[in-house]
Amino acid sequence: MLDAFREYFDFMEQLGRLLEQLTELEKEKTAAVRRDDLLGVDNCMKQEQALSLTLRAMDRKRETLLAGMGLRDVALSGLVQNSPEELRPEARAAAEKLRSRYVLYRSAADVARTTLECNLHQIERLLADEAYAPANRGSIADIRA
Amino acid sequence: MGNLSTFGTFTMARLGIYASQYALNVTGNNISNINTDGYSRQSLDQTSMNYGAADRYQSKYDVRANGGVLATGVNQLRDQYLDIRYRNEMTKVGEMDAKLDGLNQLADIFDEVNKGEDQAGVLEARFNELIQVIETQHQDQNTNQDDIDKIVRSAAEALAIQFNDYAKQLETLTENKIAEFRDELDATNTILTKIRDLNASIRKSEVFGGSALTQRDERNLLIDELSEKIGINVLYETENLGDGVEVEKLKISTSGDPERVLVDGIYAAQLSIAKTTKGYDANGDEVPPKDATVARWETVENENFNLNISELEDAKGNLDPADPNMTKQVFSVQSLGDDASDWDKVKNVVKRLTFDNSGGTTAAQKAEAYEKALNEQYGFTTSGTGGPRFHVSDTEMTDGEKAAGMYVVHFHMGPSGTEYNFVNIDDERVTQLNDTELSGGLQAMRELLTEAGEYSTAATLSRDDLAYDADAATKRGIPYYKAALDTLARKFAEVMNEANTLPDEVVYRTNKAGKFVDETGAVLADQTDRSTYVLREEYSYYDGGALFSNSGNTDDTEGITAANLSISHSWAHGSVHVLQSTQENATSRANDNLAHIIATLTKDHDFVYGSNTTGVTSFKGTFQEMLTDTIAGTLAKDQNITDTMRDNYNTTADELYVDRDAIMGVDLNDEAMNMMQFQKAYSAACRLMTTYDGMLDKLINGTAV
Repeated sequence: MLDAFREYFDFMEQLGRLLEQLTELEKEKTAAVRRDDLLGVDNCMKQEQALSLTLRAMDRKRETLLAGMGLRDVALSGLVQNSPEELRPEARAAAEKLRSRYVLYRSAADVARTTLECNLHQIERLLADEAYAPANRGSIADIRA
Repeated sequence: MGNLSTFGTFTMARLGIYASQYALNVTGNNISNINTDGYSRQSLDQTSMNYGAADRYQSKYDVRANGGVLATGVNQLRDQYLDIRYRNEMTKVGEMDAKLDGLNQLADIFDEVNKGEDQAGVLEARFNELIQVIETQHQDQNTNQDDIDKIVRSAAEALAIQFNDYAKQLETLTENKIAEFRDELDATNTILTKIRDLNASIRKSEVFGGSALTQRDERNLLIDELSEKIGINVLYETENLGDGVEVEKLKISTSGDPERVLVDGIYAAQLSIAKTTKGYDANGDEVPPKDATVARWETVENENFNLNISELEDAKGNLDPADPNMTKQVFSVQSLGDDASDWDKVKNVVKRLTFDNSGGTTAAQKAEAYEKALNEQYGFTTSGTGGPRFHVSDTEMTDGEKAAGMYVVHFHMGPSGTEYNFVNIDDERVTQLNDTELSGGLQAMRELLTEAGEYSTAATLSRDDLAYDADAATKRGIPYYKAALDTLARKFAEVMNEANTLPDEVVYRTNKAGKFVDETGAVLADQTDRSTYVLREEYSYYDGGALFSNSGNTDDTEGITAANLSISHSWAHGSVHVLQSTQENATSRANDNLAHIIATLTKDHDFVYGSNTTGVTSFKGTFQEMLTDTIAGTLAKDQNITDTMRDNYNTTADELYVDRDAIMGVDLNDEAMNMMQFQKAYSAACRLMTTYDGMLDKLINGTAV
């Protein structure tokens, strides 16, 4: 059982590193949006998609590991209390680290989303203005002298 | 031939002149307000004037031109989407700012980098000094007990004082933060009131056809300021005043779930700290409010700093008939104290009561409902006159008291008991917000004052924290650091006292049955009176005991905290000494126990965090590690994360501000172009007028007979 918990703590460390990667990616995406680099944004989103698939696989592994420890449906906040006495300090440290990384990831993701949405809004406004531009109303320019 | 209006073109030219003049006015206003904080660029709305319905007998060869331009109004250039996003971001910035400010102040207290100058002491250094001093005594093999005690006690006292100082600074920080929280609450209420008043002003202006653009700018600035303190949703609705007149109605609600309305047009609510009723018996000890021994009640602020939202009221105190917040009714009662005629005491003690709003509409119905709810709250029976009970009257007030919503509440102690008169001066209704309904600066300050993280107890978590906030047990505010420091102090005292004390059964004379005996071997009458115990011969040197206590006046080791950690009375007065040895028949040169104390101070210990609803957690490590990891290390991590998040949100907020400003800000280039354009248009309109004047002159004076 102790080995199962230690394995889970190692898994949490891996998950934390993945979250760190995602955080960096979100920052990169935000920077790309700010410098109007569409290709950069596209690249980031592709990487994000790949990492999301990895995240999904890790989530399934998480459920398996938790089930093996008899902790199915136990949230991260309940991990320490449900850990063996001798592993609680380790559990606390692992949970705290993962939580911190997750909080930072959420913050970076929020910022990226806000920046992207505001830029899309600006594009929408420009497109709406363009719709009323003379060139789009089928008018003909008289170029006779 | 078509219909030609003889003087229609004059009207056209005149309208053109007016429109250009208005446009120049608007341009001038924009330019003059270029540096006005919160000013939104304005533009003139123009529309082409149409003559109206077609003539019945209009010729198909007729050519018709429109009748000129009409200036229909001035509007502001703003993007509501950007406003919403900016305010959402500012809520997060406000939250992180408040949190970081608190964490930075905590870091000033737990300053482990500074080397002890200017009162910014280093707790770890004090620990190390104590260990160093004991090691020196151990190595030097000092045999002078008084010397050893003096030196070690001095270092121990410095450590205890450092703990006390940290605890005092935390207490001061808590008081300052509470004051700051109240100030922020007052500031928030002031903003809500100002927005309400501006709404009323804008509404009045719109009713009379104005656009109130300046007031709208002022209002937008206030809403921006409010968004830093609370997460809000802003909604622009229309209010139908009848006869086809519609005016705008601004609604501001909290962004939590459920939404609570803060401003509804010309009505606004106020926030206040929720109150709790406590009962005290005749000795002044706290008892449950319903207890039969209650001699007086006292209403105090809720220790979780939960907030109430009041009813929505306009500037004159009239209630919003469609107030969506109110689900509970609060009945406020004030005690007159012992002297029923002393009306000044009325304001001092307030009892508050909440119950479902089923009191009916008439005063009599409300009085009946209040009476029932009061007696239920305090567990009194309403039938008969035998026991203590409340009676609420709706007929004994003066007209003025009635108009103020007052009722007279009698409290009958019994047939032979005293009757107290209470007067309800505040038939107030409030809605209490749960733990996570707020976001923004106010919520951050609340969490700083109340969240104890891993040190949350079942009692604190049962304050509906976990029901609404699954992270309640992981959020760390000042209480967390207080509890951590107390845990460290308590463990230190426990460990030191244990190392300096041998079990009574070991050092004092006992018989084979384990009973304490005197010099003659007789069993002592009072087995618990330690003053009658007799030392064994082998431990005749023994003078160990508690080195630390919860007060310098006692040896009591119960309830030691960082604030009260002290050198024990016995150690300070020489009846207890640092135990140099625990060996039987130890000589004056034996100092094995000093080595044991050093080992105890440098080894790992289990620091128990305390219980939450799901069990006990602990930290295992040395005292220094507990300090650097659980306290300073955790604080540093929290600071780092909060700082990073604040920078993220700040940068985004700045960008949104710039984007917003690009739309609503005044661009001198644009305005200069507009100025030239409208000036040309004005000249052209004037020219049209003079041209037509010339034509008419020719027609009238050149062709008439």
